[in-house]
Amino acid sequence: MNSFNRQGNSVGPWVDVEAGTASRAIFTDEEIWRVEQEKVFAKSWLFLAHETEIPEPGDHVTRQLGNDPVLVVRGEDGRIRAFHNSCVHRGVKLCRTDAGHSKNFTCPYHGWIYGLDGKLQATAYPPEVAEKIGESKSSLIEMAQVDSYAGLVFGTWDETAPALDDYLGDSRFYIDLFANRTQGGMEVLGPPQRWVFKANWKLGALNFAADGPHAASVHGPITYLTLQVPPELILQQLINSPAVVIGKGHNCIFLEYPDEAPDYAGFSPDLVPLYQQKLNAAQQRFLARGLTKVMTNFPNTSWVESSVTFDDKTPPIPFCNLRTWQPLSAQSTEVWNWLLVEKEAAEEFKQKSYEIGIRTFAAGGTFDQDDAEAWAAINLGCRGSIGSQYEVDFRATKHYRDQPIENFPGPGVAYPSTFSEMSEFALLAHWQKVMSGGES
Amino acid sequence: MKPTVTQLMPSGEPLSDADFRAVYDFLNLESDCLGLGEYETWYGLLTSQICYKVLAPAFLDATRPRRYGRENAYFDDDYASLGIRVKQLTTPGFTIAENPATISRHFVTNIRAAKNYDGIEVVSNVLVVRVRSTEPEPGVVSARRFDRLVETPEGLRIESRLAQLDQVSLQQLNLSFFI
Repeated sequence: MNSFNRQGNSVGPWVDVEAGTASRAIFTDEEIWRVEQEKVFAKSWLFLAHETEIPEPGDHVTRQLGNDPVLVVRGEDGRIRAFHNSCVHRGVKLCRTDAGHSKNFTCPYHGWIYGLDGKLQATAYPPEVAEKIGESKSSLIEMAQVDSYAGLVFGTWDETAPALDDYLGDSRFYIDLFANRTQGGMEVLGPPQRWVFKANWKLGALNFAADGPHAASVHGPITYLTLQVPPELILQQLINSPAVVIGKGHNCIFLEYPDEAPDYAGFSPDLVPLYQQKLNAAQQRFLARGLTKVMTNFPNTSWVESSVTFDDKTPPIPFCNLRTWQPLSAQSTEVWNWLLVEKEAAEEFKQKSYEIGIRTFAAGGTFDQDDAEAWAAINLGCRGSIGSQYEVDFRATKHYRDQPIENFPGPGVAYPSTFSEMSEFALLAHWQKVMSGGES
Repeated sequence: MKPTVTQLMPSGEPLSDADFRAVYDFLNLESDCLGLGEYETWYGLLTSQICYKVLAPAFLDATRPRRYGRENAYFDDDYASLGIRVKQLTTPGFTIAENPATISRHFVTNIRAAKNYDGIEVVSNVLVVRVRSTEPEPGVVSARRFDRLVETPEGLRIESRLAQLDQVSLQQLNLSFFI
């Protein structure tokens, strides 16, 4: 049993930082899910799109934020705006395509027409009626703030939310390693893949914050099949690689190459000089020595990059994966999954990186398939009336919490092992703070 | 006039009844291999030049479709990478998703075939029904497949497959199987 009081309590606390535990109910309870829609998702900066998905004025893509449809549009002025994708007349989902290009948006029900800036341009009503319904002043429900960092477009429904740069804080140092490492930046390799698993969104976010121990048990065999790396070596590297509590709910781990591996192993030699031009010395060190890096930006944007090969004649090729965990319900999550590559990369490299990306971390990915199975199994283990009364265990943090790495070369507080669970648990601790009305 | 479907049909000369029966039997054998999880036998039905793609669909405007980036593939595999997938799925200690194995059936229908210079082009529809230990409600995946079969001394083999899935958002926690 646990000490968390669920009776009439929807905001917690559900996480006991001192004890290193959390209530299982946070993964299954619909009331907690409803409250976190208000406290977390309505207040946070949420990833919407990559700028290269909508390069021209009039280009748009549609997205889901939880159960809310969102329309992301590049306007005639070049500015990217995001709207609740529903007509203000009767609430009809306005744009029903996944991507497109247009000069305006016409509601399929009564024909109300909106411009790329979201303003209502016309209804079918005569002028005297149009005046009554405020035609000239109406517009789509717009996200309160939309901003970009490194080509990554985020939006928030909260007009009082801090600026995006402030929200991302020190995680920008690490985001740069994924998405801001050459002068030209990254581009998407295609539209996002989407799939649904029956478990809570936090399980994905936590796994990428990241969970070191699972990488040995869940991904050890496929790592052996692809890279021929023995499981015991992966295990040792995971135990000896750092977990970083970046701050503001953002967290990451690095699986480091063994010392004997050369710098930038797995990266395209053509791109390395570009990394060296763009990144500072500390960032270069992380990129050069990192075999795998995994991060979650609070609350639900995650990253993973590694180098893999599926052919014993071809050296490992890196893929760069970006995804969001959209909370459809307490026990259901939709993954939106993108692959990124450097704009400057050769076409052949882009294709290879794309192939490796979809064979590893994607709906058909050999790594993803076992992750999702574990999360669905957590859901089955925790959702019952008995199971949900117990705790999930992060007590490994008690061993490591007083052992931060001194003089760690990156921002945040780093701990000496991905097995510390420190970065993963820090996401939950931040989530609790936000649920309680604290920091957002 | 005989009605025809114009979109994405196999091109070439019609097959004889005996040849069509051979294609039909081959696809039944293959779907049984996939449905019963006999992946090593299935792997033997591929040529070493296999090009295996499974694509996601998209909802686009009929008059102004805009696509960007590459095609959205769930699988873009060759013989070597499929071999690794088969090894993963058939080695009990190497898979969590398929141990215990998913209970599944592959239903193949609407088979059309024609013979041309490159081999036998086959178009078919496939419906996969899956019951998993973690998702006991049956899950369904459907697709239209475009295959090129070649005749070898061992019999028909698949040299390329393009499967166009029908779900924009997969209602499956993974694709730990083949279409």
